[in-house]
Amino acid sequence: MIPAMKRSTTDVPVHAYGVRLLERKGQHALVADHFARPVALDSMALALWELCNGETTLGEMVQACVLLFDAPTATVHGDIAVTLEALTTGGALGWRSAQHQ
Amino acid sequence: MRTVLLRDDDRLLGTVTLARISAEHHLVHIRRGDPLSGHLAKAGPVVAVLADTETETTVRDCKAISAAGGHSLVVAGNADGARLLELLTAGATGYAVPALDETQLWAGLTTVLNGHIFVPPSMLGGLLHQQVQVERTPPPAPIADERFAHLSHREREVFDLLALGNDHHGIAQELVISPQTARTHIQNVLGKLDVRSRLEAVAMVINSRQLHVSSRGR
Repeated sequence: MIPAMKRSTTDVPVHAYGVRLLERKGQHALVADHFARPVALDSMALALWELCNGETTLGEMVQACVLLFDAPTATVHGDIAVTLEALTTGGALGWRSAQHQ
Repeated sequence: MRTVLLRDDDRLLGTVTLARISAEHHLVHIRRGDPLSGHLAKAGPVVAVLADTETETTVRDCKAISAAGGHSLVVAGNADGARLLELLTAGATGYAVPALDETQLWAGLTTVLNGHIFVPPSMLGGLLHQQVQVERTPPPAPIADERFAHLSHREREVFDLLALGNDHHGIAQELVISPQTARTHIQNVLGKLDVRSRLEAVAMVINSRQLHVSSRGR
């Protein structure tokens, strides 16, 4: 796992052990024994969470969003990084380097 | 107030949404089979709401609307991730599915009216996953034959469509050009490749790609 720091585009976010996704009335949240409370996900955070399958790099996520939504790379990168870091800080995500896969 | 073209013969849109569109915009109904080109020429950049009941027609219309500076919201009968990606790639601005309630559908239409992409929240993850897979797919092997270097970008598009089995009508629809123009492009392509038929041109590409792959494998 990579310690919290500036991520490389080749780094791969992966679901932390024991975290589960719950859906209730169309709202989604992550739960785990080590969470103080459920972590609510909006639609974009949910989409990114689903991509954190241990195979998709940060760069691939950014590129997919840039192409689909025709948005500036820097903006997309910033938005995705903020969301993923929030999930990382909350204990929902870990990271590994693509080079060590 | 905007001009909203609506083609929904199967009534996929709810009455509440229809009433709201009528109240706030200039709503023009288009029947199935009625070409969009006349409406686009008259109304300028428009927003179109298209029921996705005729696969090829919807793709062609999304391309034409996008080329005319407009936006389109495609209303599908069911949620199909591959179709969503195909339509967005063709120039659609939004995609709606029956699972959306009237409020979500209106939010989607408003998003499209403002020129932003709208995707049902439940389909966003699948869409991104598919886009990642598409980006990972390696491009086809380059064609070794130098005759292809003489084709213009448009002629390459025409050739690729020919290779997929399209005739000049299909190519005209796909590229939103007249059949006569498509026929002219085809003749130019065959002339530059120095072949007599479409079949001969496609066979030339297959041979060329096989040569390229086998030479890389040595």
